[in-house]
Amino acid sequence: MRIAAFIAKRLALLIPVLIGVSIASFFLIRLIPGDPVLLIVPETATEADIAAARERLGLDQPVPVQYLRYLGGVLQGDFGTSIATNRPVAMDLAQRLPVTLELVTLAMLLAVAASVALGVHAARRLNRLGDMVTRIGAIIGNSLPEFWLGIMLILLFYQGLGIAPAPSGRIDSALAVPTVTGLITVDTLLAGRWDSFLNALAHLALPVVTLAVATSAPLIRSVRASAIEVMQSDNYRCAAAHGLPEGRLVNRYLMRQTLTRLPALAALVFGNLIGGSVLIEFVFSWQGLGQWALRGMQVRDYPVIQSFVLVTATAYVLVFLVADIVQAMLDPRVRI
Amino acid sequence: MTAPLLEIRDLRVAIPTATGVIEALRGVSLSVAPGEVLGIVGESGGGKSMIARTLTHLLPAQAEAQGQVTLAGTDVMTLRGEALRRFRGRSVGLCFQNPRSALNPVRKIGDQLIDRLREHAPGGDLRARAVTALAAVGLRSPETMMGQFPHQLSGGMAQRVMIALSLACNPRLLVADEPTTGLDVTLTGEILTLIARQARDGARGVMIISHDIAALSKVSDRLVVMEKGLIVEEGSTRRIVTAPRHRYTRRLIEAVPDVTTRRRAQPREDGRSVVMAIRDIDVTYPARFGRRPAPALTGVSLDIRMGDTIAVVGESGSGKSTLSRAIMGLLAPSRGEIRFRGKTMSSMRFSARRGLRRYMQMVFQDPFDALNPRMSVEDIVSDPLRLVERDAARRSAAIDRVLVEVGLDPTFRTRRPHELSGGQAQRVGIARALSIAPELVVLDEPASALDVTVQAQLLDLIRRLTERRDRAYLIVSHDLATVRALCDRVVVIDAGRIVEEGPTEHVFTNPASPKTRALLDAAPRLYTDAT
Repeated sequence: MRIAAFIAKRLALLIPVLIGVSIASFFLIRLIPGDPVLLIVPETATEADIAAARERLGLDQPVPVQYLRYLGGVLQGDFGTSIATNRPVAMDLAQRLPVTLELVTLAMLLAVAASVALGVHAARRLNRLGDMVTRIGAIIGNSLPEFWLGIMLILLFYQGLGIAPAPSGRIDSALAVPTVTGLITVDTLLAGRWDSFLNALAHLALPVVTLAVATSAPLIRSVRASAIEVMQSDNYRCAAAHGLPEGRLVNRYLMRQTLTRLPALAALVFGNLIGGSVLIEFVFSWQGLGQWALRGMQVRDYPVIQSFVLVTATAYVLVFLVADIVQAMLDPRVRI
Repeated sequence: MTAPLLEIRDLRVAIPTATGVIEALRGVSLSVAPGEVLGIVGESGGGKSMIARTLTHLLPAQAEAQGQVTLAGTDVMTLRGEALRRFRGRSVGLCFQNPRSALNPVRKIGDQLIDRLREHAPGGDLRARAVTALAAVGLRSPETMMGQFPHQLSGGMAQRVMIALSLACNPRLLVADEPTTGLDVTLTGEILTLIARQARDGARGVMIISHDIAALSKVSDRLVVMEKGLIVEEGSTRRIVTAPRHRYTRRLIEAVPDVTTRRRAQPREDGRSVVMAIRDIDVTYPARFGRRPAPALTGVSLDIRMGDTIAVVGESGSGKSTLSRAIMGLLAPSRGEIRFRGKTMSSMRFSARRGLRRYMQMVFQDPFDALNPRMSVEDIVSDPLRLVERDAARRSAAIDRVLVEVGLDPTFRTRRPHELSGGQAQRVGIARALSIAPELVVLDEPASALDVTVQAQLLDLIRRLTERRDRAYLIVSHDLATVRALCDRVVVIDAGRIVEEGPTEHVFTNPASPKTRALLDAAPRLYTDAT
């Protein structure tokens, strides 16, 4: 019951956050030089044509009026129409959001699992070889540009070894299944197509690994630091001094306490990924949110950009909500 | 005498640091017989804890230990790997100093206990045995506690759990390292008795490490007195407390606050102005969702007059800290009124209270916690001064004056807290409070975080300050003995209510409330007829 009240309170927080974010994004993008109308009318258009187009898009109204109209639309689930493609933004969002979410969620799960294993491993071998290798590896993974890492992985596993599928999207077209949830792994399973599912996983492997490698450095560092802190704490030394066996010490006394410090940072990294996976989407021809938003940005497609900002902000709030709940589940001292 | 359970021969521990080698132990030899309670006493830095750490292989990684340590026939120094793990817990059970930090914060008490039982004494219904073990250390609702987490326990409960954890390993030797730090006097006695009782079966040995010779004198058979890594005196507890031979032992004994020492100066007659009047206040902490708010103070009234020194005494959780916070205006009473310098402080807004703050100052329990580690003594003391003295030269002179007043040389100005000893740091805390000439000074357990001999010196300073009667002092303490020589009046507080109040001598000689009598009984004193 308390958790339900907590979730309700945090979801209510979404309202002021989204209003603030939408106002800021709405007015700020109109300050960026570049007129979307000029980009969509033919080169031969006259002044009158341009004015007509502007009027059709509602861009002739004062900005506050435009904002209120936009807000009214959003409240009814209408995110406007893309200036460039004339497609309803809501439709694009419904199509592309799951694509990106699936990619970054899997990457995040992989990154967290690997970081916990590597971070704890490093802490237990403090200043020895395993620790050094992990730390240097994390720094290298962090400093490689992710698109370059993606390309290298493609070169190695697709071109070189031939074990990965071509970076041509989420699934081979021959194995495509009807879209239900938009999450390819779920859809293939719903269609009962085991071959499609495996093919989708194969397509996911390289981009997921790339993203995970590129983002896990801060996670590894944080896990390692908190594991070291736990191992130096009185309670860990007490358990050791009472002669508890190694396995129990690591699982019950080290891991659990180390994990309690992870959710907040993981949420931050996750939030960044949702808005920042564009390069990887580009390299792997992933038709996700990032590519779509980037194109919208290039042509000043106001409704697209605004919706993208709203979606990212919502994602941040939700991810941090989940992180706080996980934290409370891991740490009895945290009350929500 | 039976063959010793623990035999330490010429133990030396050296810890190399950046500034040189610290010789923590310089050739220590001692033994513990089965069924014996050995007390190791000395002040911090004396090396006592290093003995416990050597026994459990918990010395810092860079430490070098030499010597012979044999426990129940096992050569402790050469233990490695699986043999060491088996030895730890089963042969030596260590009670850590701060039980709250020594318990795993994210694991249920019951599970932590079962972890140890399963490893060292398996068999039977582990859960039922864990409940029994909790009950055996005097915990009242062991069933509930099984499912609780360490942060839900009080300090005394946590220490009992710690003892239960150590005993669950069924060790041949139980070692308790400063087991009563931070506990009030009543609990200190109970916990030490509980630990000492573990030797009663005649097979187990008990080693209690403490700075508190008075507390040890009650429970230990033999005492070892340590100073600077050496044993300076050793013998039966009775002999040591009645006829100490070494100068350092005598100092430790003299430093025990004496419940019979009276206050010298008597307060002047009435007619002095009332600095603070507390009228029938209640303080209630906001309740957690769905629970009824529990009152922390109920119907408390108190007049503090200029020149008064009043002690507020009570056990942990009695509400004495709440009272000092309400007095400092850090908490608003939910009912009643607090008047300070003729103004009703309790109904003031926070910003208006700021003007009154300059007339009241507080000295905190842990001096290092209360001093900004990055600031010099000069900056620390002059911070409040800045509010009242704009002129830098006069401010500087005032700093020198107040440092001398608390017994510190003005050359201390440039030092930072980490360059101070505990006693010096607390003097700086007092200097900071006195710097702006407040009318009311609240001292919250000002000496309890300090070593005993330092404690005595600090209490002496406070006594001298209070005898000037140029301001009002309120001293919060759990220890009646320390306040007898300091205070004119005593207020005994229990469960949020004042249960006794009166002139110090009257309260000490004719305690009316059973709580006061209990506190008097618990006051530390040397047990010269220990058995």
